[in-house]
Order: sequence, then C-alpha cells, then structure tokens
Amino acid sequence: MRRKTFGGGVGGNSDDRSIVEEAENKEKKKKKKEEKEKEKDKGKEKDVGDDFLTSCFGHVFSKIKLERFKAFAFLMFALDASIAFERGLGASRFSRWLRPLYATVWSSELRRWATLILRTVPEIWELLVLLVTTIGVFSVIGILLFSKVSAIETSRERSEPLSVTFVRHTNHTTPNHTAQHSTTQHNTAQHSTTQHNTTQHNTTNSTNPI
Amino acid sequence: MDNYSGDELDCWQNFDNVPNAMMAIYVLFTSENYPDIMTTPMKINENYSYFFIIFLLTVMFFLGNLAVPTLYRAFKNNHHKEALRGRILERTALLAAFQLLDFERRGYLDRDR
Repeated sequence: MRRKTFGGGVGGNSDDRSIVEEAENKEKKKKKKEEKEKEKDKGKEKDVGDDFLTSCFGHVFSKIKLERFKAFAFLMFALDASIAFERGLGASRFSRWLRPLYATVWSSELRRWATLILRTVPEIWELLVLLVTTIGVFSVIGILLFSKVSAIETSRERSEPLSVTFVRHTNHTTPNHTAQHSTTQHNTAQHSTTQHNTTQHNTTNSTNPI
Repeated sequence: MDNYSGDELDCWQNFDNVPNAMMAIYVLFTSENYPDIMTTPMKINENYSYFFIIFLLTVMFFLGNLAVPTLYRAFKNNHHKEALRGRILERTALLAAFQLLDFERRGYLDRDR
C-alpha cells in the first residue's frame, strides 16, 4: 500500500477517494431506489385503501376476488333477508331462484364446471350482442315490409274485403271487430264460421249508425 | 287443446310490432316452422322471398355457425387455464409441504420423514 501511495502520490489517494465516492454514490442511489419503491408501495396501498369495499369493511374484503365475491353475496343475502322481513316469508325473493347453486357447495367437480361456464360466457358476449342486434335489424325491416301483409292475409283467409281491413286498422268500430275476432278464435270450425262471422260483421256495419 | 289452436300460434308470429317480429325472426333463425312465417308474405309478392334468403344466408348460415366455434374456443381456452392453475396450485402445495418437512434445509428427506 505504501508503494502504491508513494508511487502514485496524490493520484493514488485521489483514486481511493473516487472509489469511495463511487461506492457512496451507489449506496445513495440504492437508498433512493428503495425509497421510491417504498413510496410506490405506499401509493398502491393508498389506492387499495380508497376502494369502496375497504372503506366499508376495512382490508378484509379487498385483497382477493373471492373475498369480494363473498362480500357481494353477503350484501345480496342481507337485501333478501330485509325483503323477507318487511313483506313476510311469502314474498317473492330472488334468492329462491339461486338455490340450485347450493349444489356447487357439495360437489367440487360441479363447482369447477360452473366456474368454467361462468368464465366462458363473457367471451361470447360480443357475439350474442351481434346476433341479437342482427335479429333486431331484420325484425325492423320485416315490420317495414310486412306489417300490412298479415292483415291482408288474414282478411283473405276470413274472406273479408280490403275495406273491412282498412276499417279494422282505423280503430273505428273496434269493439265490434274485437268481439268478432274473439268469436273466430273460439270457433274451431274455421271456414264456415268465419263466413258466418263476416256476414254477421256486415250486418253490424250496416246497422251501425256511425 | 283449444288454448293451443293455430290462431293463437299465428298471433305471435307476425310482423305487426317489434316483439312479435323478433319472435318471428327468431323462429326463422332456428329454422323450425319457418314456412309458416315465410309463405304468408310470399303469397302477396314473391319478391319478398329475397328478404328471407338474405336473412338465412347472413344469420343462419354465417352467424349461427360462427357461434359454435367461438363458444368451443373460449371453453377450451378456459379449460386449459383452469388445468394450468390447478397444476400450479398442486406444485405449490407440494413445495410448501417439502419445505415444512425439510426444516433443516438439507435439500432431501429421509425415509423416516
């Protein structure tokens, strides 16, 4: 060490100092990183602490999804119990429809398949929405195209003239036509009875002062 | 039997309002009794058949068949994930049991333990 210090002179001391300074700087950087990580962890804890469930139940129901589900189930059953308490035991409670799910408590295999199905449904949700939307669009187009077709066809089946159909759709003399429609529904003998009803309908129209 | 006569069935399968029209389109989609819905407008005008042809091509032959593989793929992926999760849980439990038994940190277990 003496040779080095002697040979190096002031430069050797400066090297030692620089090494020590570098080590100190590294230690400072490590401390800063650790402090930053601690601050981040504190921030995460704050975010978790701002959660609604933690504000209500503390840190009991916030860490695991299963615990959150238990909290949700607990709230639902509390709501159901409050309904039963207010309206009586004979009231319609929604928990009765969920009682088949108790079977998942006894069978682990059934519980596994039930969770599998529940996880599968959200992935096909978009396709179901697309299907229902398509059916809705085609139904609206069908209404625009065929809304008058059924009326015309029923008038043909009942051998009614189109003028009678027009009167039916203008909502004038509605009680007469609804009564006639009910009589035609109750009669199983189809064609003869409809002809009879149309003749009766014509007579009612003729006697109608309006 | 009078309650299920043809008149009451036909009163649901028409295009008079949106719910009945959606029910009729759904029956058409399932291809059960679709002639009951299709023949009535075609008696008025045969050009109305294009509506039903377009619907059957787009919805029944395309979207209907698209639903099954999508459901199968999602179910298969979830099944694989569930199996992997079970395997990880099993290995973790075995490692925890090994660490509890190997409290001397030797890396192996005797036959007595």
